[in-house]
Amino acid sequence: MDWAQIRIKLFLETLGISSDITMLQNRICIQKAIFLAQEAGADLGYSYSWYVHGPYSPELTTDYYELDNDLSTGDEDYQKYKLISALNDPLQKIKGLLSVPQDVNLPQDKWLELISSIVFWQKITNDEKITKERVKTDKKDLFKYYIPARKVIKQYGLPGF
Amino acid sequence: MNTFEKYKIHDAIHKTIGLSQLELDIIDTKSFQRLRNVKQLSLLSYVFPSADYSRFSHSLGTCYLSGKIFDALHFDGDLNKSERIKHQKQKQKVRLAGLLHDIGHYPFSHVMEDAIKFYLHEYHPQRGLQEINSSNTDGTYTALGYLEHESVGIKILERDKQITETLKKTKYSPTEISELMIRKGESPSELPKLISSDLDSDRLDYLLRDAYHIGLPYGSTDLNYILREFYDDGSGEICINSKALRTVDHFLLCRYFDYSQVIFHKTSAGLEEVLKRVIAFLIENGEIKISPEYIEGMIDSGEWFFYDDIYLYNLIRKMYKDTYLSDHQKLFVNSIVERNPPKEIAKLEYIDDIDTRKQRLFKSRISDLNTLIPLIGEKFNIDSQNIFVWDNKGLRLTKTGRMLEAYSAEADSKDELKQSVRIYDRVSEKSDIIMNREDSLMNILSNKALYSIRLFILANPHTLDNEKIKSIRLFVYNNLEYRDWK
Repeated sequence: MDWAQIRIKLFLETLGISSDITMLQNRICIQKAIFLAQEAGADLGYSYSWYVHGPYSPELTTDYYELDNDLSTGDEDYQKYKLISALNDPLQKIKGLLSVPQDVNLPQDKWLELISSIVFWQKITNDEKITKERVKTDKKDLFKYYIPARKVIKQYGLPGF
Repeated sequence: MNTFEKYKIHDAIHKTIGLSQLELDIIDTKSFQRLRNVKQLSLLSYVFPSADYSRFSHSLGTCYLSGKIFDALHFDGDLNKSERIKHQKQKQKVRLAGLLHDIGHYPFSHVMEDAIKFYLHEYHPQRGLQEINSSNTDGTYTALGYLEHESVGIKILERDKQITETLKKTKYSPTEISELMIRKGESPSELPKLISSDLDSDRLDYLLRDAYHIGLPYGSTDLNYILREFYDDGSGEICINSKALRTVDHFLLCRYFDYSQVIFHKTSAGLEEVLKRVIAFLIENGEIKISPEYIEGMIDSGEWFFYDDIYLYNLIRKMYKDTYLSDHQKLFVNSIVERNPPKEIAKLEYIDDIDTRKQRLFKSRISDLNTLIPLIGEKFNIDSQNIFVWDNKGLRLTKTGRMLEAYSAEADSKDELKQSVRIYDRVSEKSDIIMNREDSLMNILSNKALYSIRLFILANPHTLDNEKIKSIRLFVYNNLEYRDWK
């Protein structure tokens, strides 16, 4: 297992996200969880752009398919390592952000899509009003949870909120 | 007077390029002028002497073509006054995004980005990780991230004083422009994706510009016909009229040949691998810093203006004169300054399907070759640091393949499909991705890639003669299971 795959696996384990990529929903969770982790300060170096499901990194896609391949062949090298505290601490800090709040009726992939979209546009625009507009336009089906989502993001202290 | 014709620049490719006042103001900023000293094709002029055009002229061309495509999609003849104002504003936004799309490129363009990745991978592979039950760690190196050129571009739009002040005087915010640059799969509802897709203003310009400057015909696409046949399918999808299907096939083939014949030319590919390693020396020595904070600081202080090919080349020349370098480092630095390219010892090229199994096979062949490096070094008395493998990652004709959805290992379905060229079908009055058209070459070819792997050795010319190269080649062939190495 290469170092990039070890880092991803340990990130996902720490965040409580499955590395199973059989379903698109799982892959969305991985993409968004790592995006949020990077925004919280645990930077893996993946570059994100805006795609259909929100922030997305093609390079990360390649790496988690590689991880899936390694795991399917029984490679468990990642168990010999742990993340240094500079990476582990931010992950611990935002772990709870990834769980869907009780008053939000969304599956986890949709919740992560919503909060990562808000974080993405807030970072790009640095403007609450424009962020709201972008999410309203691009994520119509999720927009009704915009206010609680923003509140939770603020609670977890992501930069810009 | 037409807003976009206030000033005129003569360009070798598009002849007269008209510019608005705002565009001229942007062009006059230091960050944009810097692009004059960032070559589009990096070291390719070491092979094709005229291939030395800059990102400055390419950016002007992309601005021009973005406007042309916008015009093709939006007929403005029937607009009333307020609609016309809105139309002009949108067109200006698209042209600005085209003008600024490369503003964040590092010196030597993509080579420097590859060098940063190489540096992180080779010098700090274990970064961020610590062995359990061991104090052995590379944890002191926590700079995992760096900014890709698109992200640098967005930072420039947000922080460069001249650019932000220029935009402040207008109706445009940096966000509106950067938004067009970061939306890869889709664009804001009112604007088509003109800057980043399989058929966009960026690609159209650089293919024509490459062909003109290199003197080879591979990028000679029928631009005017394509521009005439851009279409909005009614659901907001940008597409091409089916009459131009062959022209689009031809365009995508042009790109394939441009890459396979020109960009991946063995000499420039080898030299760029050498340059990557030289830049890595500079990063390791602290001569170049790559952290996002440092890049932001350069933008804020205005130092970014000087951060171009000339700056980096001067650092390399300074190294060339230094005496503290190891023999290995000296060889690599001399290779760039004196133009002593590495020798291609062996290569494997084949066209095959794009699927998980084939990609794994490709990787295993790269890995087999890498395994041979220490053996070659030992047997032929060559420092194994001077032997390296290059690969093209699998060159595809389209960003996504036809079988994308069947092979889940490819990508995340719709996200990447959104960048495909769409063809308008007159019967159904809908558009569909070109790979789904049975009358398109891409129906077959989008599922194929050119896989290319090369083994290079960098040596002083007098220490690596033809006889020795032959012996090494034979050794490589005899030690690799696959027999089609050339």
